[in-house]
Amino acid sequence: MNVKRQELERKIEEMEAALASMKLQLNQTVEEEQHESIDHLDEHLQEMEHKWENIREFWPIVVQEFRERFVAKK
Amino acid sequence: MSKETVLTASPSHVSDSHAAELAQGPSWVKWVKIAGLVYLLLVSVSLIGGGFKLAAGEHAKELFAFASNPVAGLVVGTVATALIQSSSTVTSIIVGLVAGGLPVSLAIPMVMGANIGTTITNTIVSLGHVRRGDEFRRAFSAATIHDFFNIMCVLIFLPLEIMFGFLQKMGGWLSTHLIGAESMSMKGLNFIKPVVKPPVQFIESTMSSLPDMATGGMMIVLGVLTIFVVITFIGKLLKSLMVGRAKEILHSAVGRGPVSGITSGAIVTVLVQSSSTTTSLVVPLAGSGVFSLRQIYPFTLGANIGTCITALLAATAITGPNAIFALQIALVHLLYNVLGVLVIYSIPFLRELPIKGAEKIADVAVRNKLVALGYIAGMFFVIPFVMIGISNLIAA
Repeated sequence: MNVKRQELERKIEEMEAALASMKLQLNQTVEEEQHESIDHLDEHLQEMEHKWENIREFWPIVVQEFRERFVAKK
Repeated sequence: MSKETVLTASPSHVSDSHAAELAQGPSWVKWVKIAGLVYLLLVSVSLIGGGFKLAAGEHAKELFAFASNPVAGLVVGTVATALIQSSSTVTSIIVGLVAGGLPVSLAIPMVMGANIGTTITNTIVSLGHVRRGDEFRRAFSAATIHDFFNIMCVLIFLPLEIMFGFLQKMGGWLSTHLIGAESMSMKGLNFIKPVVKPPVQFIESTMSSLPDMATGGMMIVLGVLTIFVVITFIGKLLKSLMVGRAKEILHSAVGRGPVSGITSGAIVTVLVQSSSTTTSLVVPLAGSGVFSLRQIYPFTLGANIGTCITALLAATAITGPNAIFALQIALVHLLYNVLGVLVIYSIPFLRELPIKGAEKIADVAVRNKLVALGYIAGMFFVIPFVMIGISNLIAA
C-alpha cells in the first residue's frame, strides 16, 4: 500500500470521527434546547387560554392581503 | 434559534393565569373539585341517556334517520366538535345518546368526525404565530399534520366500516367480554348506579308534570350543557395540576423516538383530559423550531389515543341493558384511534402523507394568508356540508 493512500485513509478516518463527534454535540445541543423549551410549557398553556386573540390578530392580516390581491387590482 | 421565540407568553397572560390559579385554591381542593366534576360528568351522561330514552322511546333510530347516511354522521361529529372545541364533550354526549337508544352503527361516523373537529383548536393556536413567517410555517404545519392524519384515518376506516362493520364488531366483542352478555342488566355489579341514579331520578321526577317528550328533551339539554361546563372546568383544573407531570413526561420522551412520543402524547392527554390541549401545546414548541415536525408528529397521534379515556369514563355511568352499547361505542373510539396509529404510522408511505400535506399547506399559507383562512373554513365547515350534499345526491 503506498504512503499517499495510507495518508488519505487516515485523514478520512479522522474526519469521520470528527463528524460523528460534531453530530453527537449537535444532538446534545438540540436536546438541551428541547428540554429548555419544555420547561416553559406552563407559559404555552397560558397562551392557549387566549387563543381567540390569535384570530383577532390574524383577521386584519387576512383583510389586508385580500385588499392587496383583489381590491387594489381593480 | 433564539430563546425569545420560546418565551412568547405575554406578562399579562401570565398574571391573569396566576390569579386564576390562586382562585382555584390549593391542590387538594382542586382534586376534590375534580372528583365532584367527574361525578357530575357521570350524572350528565346518564341524564342524556335517560332523557333520550324518554323522549325517543322506541323511535331513537327514526329520530336519527338523518344520520343513517354515514357522511352526515361524520359531519355532525366534525362540526359539533369544531364549534364546541372539545372532542371529549362530543364523545361523552354520543355515549349518552347510545345509552338512550342511538344505534352504535350511526354513532361510529360521529365519533370519527369528532376526531377531525377537535383539530381546529391547535390550528387557531398556530394563528398566533402569523406575523413571523418561518415560525408560522412551522406552527401551522405542526397543527395541520393532525388534520391530515385524522382525515386519512376516516378515508381508510370509514369505507371499511360501511362495508364490513369491523369496528362495530370488534367493539361489540370487547364490550361483551368486559361486561358479559349475560350480565347486561349489571344488577349488583355496578357501584356507579346507586351513586348516579338518584340525581337523575330527582330531575326526572321534578319535571314529571310535563309530557315525556318535553321532560326527555330538557334532560338532554341539561345533560349536554353540564357535560360542556364540567369538561371545561376539569380541563382547567387538570392543566394547572398536571403541568409539572406533563413536563416530566415530555422531558423523558426527548431523544427517544416515535413510540415514546406516542406514549407520552397519550399519557399527557389522559392527564389533562383534552387532546386539543396536548396538540396545541406542541404548536409553539414546533413553531420555535426547537422540535421538528417529524418529532411532534408521534406526540399528536398519542393525543388521539389518550382522549378516548373520557368516553370510556362516561360509559361507566351507564347502567341497564344499553350499558353494553355505551361501552361498545367508547371502545370503538379507542380501537379506531389505536388502529389508525398502527396502520398509518407503521406503513412508511402512509406515514409520510400527513407530513407532506402539512408542509405543503403551510408553505402556501405563509405566502397567502387567505389560504389559511380558506383552509380552516373549508376543512371544518364548508367541505363537510358539501360532502353531505354530494352523498345525498349519490344516495338519491
